[in-house]
Amino acid sequence: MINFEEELKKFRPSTEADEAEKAVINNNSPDMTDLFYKMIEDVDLHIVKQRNS
Amino acid sequence: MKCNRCGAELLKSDFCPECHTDVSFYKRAAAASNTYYNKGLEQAGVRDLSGAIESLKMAVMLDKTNVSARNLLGLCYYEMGEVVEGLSHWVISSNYNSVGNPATEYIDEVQKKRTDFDEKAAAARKYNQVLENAQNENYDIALIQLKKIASHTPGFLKAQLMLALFYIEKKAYARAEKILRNVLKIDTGNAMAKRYLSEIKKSSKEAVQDQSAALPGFLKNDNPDSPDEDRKPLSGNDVIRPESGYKRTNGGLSSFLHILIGIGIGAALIFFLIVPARDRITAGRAEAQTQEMSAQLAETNDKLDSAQKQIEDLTKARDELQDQIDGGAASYNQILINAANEYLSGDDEQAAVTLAGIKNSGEALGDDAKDLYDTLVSNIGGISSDDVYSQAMEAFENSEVMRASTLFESAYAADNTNVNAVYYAARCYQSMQNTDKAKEYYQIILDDFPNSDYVDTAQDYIDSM
Repeated sequence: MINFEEELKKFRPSTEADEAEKAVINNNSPDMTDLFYKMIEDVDLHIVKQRNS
Repeated sequence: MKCNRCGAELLKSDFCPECHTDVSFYKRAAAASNTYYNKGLEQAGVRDLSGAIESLKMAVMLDKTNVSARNLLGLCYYEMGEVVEGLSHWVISSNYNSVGNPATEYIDEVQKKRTDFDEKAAAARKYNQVLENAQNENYDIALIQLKKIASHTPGFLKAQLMLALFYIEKKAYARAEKILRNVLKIDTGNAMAKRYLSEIKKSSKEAVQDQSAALPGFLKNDNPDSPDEDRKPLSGNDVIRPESGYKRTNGGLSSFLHILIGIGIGAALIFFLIVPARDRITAGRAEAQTQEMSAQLAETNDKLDSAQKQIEDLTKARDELQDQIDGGAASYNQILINAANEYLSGDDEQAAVTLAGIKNSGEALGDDAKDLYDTLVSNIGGISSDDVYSQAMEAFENSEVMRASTLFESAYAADNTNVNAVYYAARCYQSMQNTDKAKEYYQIILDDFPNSDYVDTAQDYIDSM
């Protein structure tokens, strides 16, 4: 049985022309490769800090 | 395949030949991205746009530089009516690779058909308003707006699905089904449309079952009390004759009664079923029309109020300007009269000084006043602003501050670039304790001569007030 109010909540707003810039920024988020290299950098940094301390 | 750091062509090795970055992970991610892209391509090929979008989003999440996946993702969004989302992906794609990229052609196409894009973007804006109205439980207004959006942009799937939901709520299943079938033509894998359609079928089946359960008993075949008839065994001479359902009536009276009963049932059906339903439909249409007209009326009233305010502002501005013009003209006319009186009384010199005050303000005089001005100037001869200024300084040095102030004013009126005249006029009024006039002339220095040497003095005087 369809509950009207519950179904209505599932509808999300559509992106407007004024928000095009924000849409470009959001859709160009880092991918898995970026995250992986970031993790490697963080690990390297952590190792260097440990060596220096 | 190119390195995602420096763009160099990658070889079999797990390290980039140019920047020596470890690209093993990137290669695996790019391979997985291509797998998802292929899946998305297959789904898009059979118009399963919802499924294609999910696969392509994964492809782009694994490798954001996969321009093919991004271009196809943009196409799927555009086809579903999400034009801004589609365009954003094409923009990102053309950023990563602008040479030979179909995304640049898509963007050019959108720019060429600007009106089409603007229409779809406007539909998105109106849809968001509808969503807001629906969340605030203004369902009737939301439905009216939604119908307009759906009729102008039938490719905007979100709006179509919401309209179908409204129709389901109002139990207008036929309309809802039509909309949902159109949605599924565009996006064959749309889960929401499929779910709503199955709900409609379920609700329709239940309605049919309820109707059959409500049938009167004489139409059902369940009479357990009928006596068993004795049957004789059949012989070879017996003729089997099918039983006829036709029964003779007893005569005219029972027929007449049956007819009367039939007419009564028919009248009752019309009175209790058809008439109220028709009234409900009519009332519903009238209410919808009333609400639409109320919305239009409110919009018109707002425009009217705005126009009224503009008229009031313009009238006020016009009156102020008129006063200025009248004031200006009146004051220049007064100067002209004073000059004429001085000339008639024989004081040519004073008349020339007075006339100098309106030397540069000819436009403010009417035709007759201008004729008089020209006559006086031709009889008296003009006097330059410098001469008036010299006379004013002489008077000032002789402490004739009142005469000096008038002459400095005339000198400034004759030559409005003479900052010295303004300054000394202010000094004269200051010494006469006429603070309003002094402040007026010091303010002229600050407003019109901000680079003069008198600015500090003027500012100090005004600050001290």
